[in-house]
Amino acid sequence: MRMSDFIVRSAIIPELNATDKEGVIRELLESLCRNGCFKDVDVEDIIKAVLKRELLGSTGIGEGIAIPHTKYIGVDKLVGVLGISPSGVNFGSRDGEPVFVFVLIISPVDQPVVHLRALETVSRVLRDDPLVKALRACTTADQLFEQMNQYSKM
Amino acid sequence: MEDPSPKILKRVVKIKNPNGFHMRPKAAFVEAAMRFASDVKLIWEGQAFNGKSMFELMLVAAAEDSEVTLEVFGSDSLLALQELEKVLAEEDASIPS
Repeated sequence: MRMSDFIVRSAIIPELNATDKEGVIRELLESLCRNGCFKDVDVEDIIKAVLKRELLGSTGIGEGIAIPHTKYIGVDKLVGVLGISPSGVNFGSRDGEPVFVFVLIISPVDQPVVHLRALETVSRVLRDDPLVKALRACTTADQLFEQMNQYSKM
Repeated sequence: MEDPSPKILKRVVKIKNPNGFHMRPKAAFVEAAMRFASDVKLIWEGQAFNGKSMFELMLVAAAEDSEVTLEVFGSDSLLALQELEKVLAEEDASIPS
């Protein structure tokens, strides 16, 4: 699996405006919604589901990266969005550091293996420190997608 | 009690959670592993991952019914093995992953 298999290019946000956890999750999900990723689904309900998941433990995995996610009954395929916060957001990460790179993932409830593989794929790609630095230096969604894709292929 | 001459202890564990070894049990595993002085590794698909690193465990996409090998080495390895095996064998699928 590659990140480009599920990251929605047109939904990528090169500069998140939000300054807190709920705001980031809302901004990313609303972007997916605007790009037609959810049909007959109330985006507020997905926001609640992702926030509920965060209550069980932050998806900030450290090193400035978070992968907020949930499985949601109303979606029929895996979708994801990448967002960069230039100033960083307190996401309650394991290492206590702010998060700059967000990859939000929504997957169908009946595809646990796809969900696991998506999280693994994002983690494998974002383990690469030069890539994370390169992503943070991007100023457009297209640049972000191309950078991510280049590393994702390796 | 500390073992003065520790050996590497290994245990093959089957993942029983229908959601697989997902993020929440991974976090619980890291938290538990950090409580022990022993080195902790998880071996999955022929690769070894540091059991005390969330970032490394994120690379273990072990699905339900797949097997991982828990490998522990250090002065408190026996206790660590027992505790960590419990975390890996968790079955609860009622809460989101």
